[in-house]
Amino acid sequence: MIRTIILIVFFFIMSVVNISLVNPVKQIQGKYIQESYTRIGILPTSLLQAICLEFQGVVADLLFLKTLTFMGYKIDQNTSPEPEDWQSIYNVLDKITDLDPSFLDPYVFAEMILTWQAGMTEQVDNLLHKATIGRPNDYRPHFYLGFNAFYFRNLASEAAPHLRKASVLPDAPKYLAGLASRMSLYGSQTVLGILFLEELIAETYDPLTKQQLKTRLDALKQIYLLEQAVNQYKTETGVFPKNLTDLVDRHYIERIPSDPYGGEFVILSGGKIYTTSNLLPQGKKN
Amino acid sequence: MKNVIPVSFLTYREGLKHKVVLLTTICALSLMTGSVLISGFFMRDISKIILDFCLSITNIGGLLIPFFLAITLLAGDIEKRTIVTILARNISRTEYLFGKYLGISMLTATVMLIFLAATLLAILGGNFLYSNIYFKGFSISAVVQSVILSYLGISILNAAVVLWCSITTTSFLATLLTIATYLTGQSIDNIVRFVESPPAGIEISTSISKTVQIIQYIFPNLAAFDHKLSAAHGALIPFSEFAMLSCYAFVYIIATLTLSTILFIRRDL
Repeated sequence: MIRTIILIVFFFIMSVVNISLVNPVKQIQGKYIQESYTRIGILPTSLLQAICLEFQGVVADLLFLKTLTFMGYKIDQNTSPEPEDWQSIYNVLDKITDLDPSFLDPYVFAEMILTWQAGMTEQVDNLLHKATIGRPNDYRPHFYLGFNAFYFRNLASEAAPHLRKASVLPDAPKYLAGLASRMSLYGSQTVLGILFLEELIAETYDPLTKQQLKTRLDALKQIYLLEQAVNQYKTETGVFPKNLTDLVDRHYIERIPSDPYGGEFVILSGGKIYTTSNLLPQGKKN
Repeated sequence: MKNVIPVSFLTYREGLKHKVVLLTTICALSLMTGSVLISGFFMRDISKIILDFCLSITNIGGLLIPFFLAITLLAGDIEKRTIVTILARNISRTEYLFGKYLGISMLTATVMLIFLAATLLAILGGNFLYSNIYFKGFSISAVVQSVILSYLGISILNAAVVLWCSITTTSFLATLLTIATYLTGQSIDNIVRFVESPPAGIEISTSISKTVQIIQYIFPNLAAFDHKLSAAHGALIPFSEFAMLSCYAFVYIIATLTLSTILFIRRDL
């Protein structure tokens, strides 16, 4: 009986020690997250496929989860990923889509994060070309390719064929059909950006991602509102306003809207609206 | 062959007595529940994530039978000498081996059917928790087809267990040979393709090339039975391919069991 009590007490002490060790162990592991994550990305695809045996799908899922964890770790550390971090993320996404070329989430993640935050449109386009083969009946890869060409590179002629292809695929939104021809009429990429983000929000489950997209959509809507006011000002006065207060003074807008990312909206030469946040979260940099 | 069925039912009942079946089922069901929760961490391919996890677990659950239970049931009989009692009851060695194989296959089918049911429950759970827009690509036919093909692959491995148990004297050696068969079967296709068309700058010696070519006719191509990825995306493989794979599995199993019988009837127990 006494031995049993001693064992129970011993077990209780060990459990308490174990609980107190969980966080230090987590911190040690945190130091090596980056190293282990980077190593995955440099593995040759054929070797990775051989290691995975018949579990390529589930390994692709777990690697993608690791990517989300890596991003979460960076946010947790209140640091922005460095260029080499973005490259590691791209490398791992490339491996994930080699393991499962039909896996939609990595493509959407690349489109949402690598283009907007890291400016890696060329690399994202490479992934999306893989998606057009892996998901031949999905309109989204073509839509994203068209969006990247128009929004990030301002190449309507390059975007149009992709949007036309996207528009004839199953479940494509109706507005895509006429979008290719109407692009040049918009005068800026903001409308396409708004449509793009609305489409992403409608199909995203993860609440955190949804919130991030909504913030970006909100910022783009503010920019669109300002662009419309600037155009109206130009039409009526013949010149672009020098600053945003001119729009308030002449009652084109009630007040200067605030940038949800914490930046300030300014008018560039030619009436283009710019924000000092560059539509990026204003975290503490390394 | 009239004694094959009684031996198979005896093996089946004996297998069910092991807590392994019950415990692995409980573990798999828990993991499947976990898969529904994990899928919520992802952005939109929720159905694919649940199916990836569930079909992999189903496969692992099925693989536990040849790796552990089948060897216990077969090699255990020989090690504990209970085989002598069975064979003394006017049961031929051929009937014994085929009966054992059928019993093990029935156990595998039972375990995988439970896992299949759990997979469908996980999909229902996911549909309930999240929204049905994330389950548009789900195809029950593709899932069932994938599980059948996985079952056929594991059945081949079960036949390999019978072969290794009929020629080895210890269960440890039989386990090692079964694991080796599984790993070879999963990678032989990649290796053959690599040898047939090596990347530029890599030279493959003729002897290695010939050895690999021969091995592909000896070991089963287990990777061919893996269609979990396409099932997770709701894609069925054509019926002709399904029929060809079934035919390959059937022929390989019969050939392996025949070889096992030839070796087993000559064995000194």
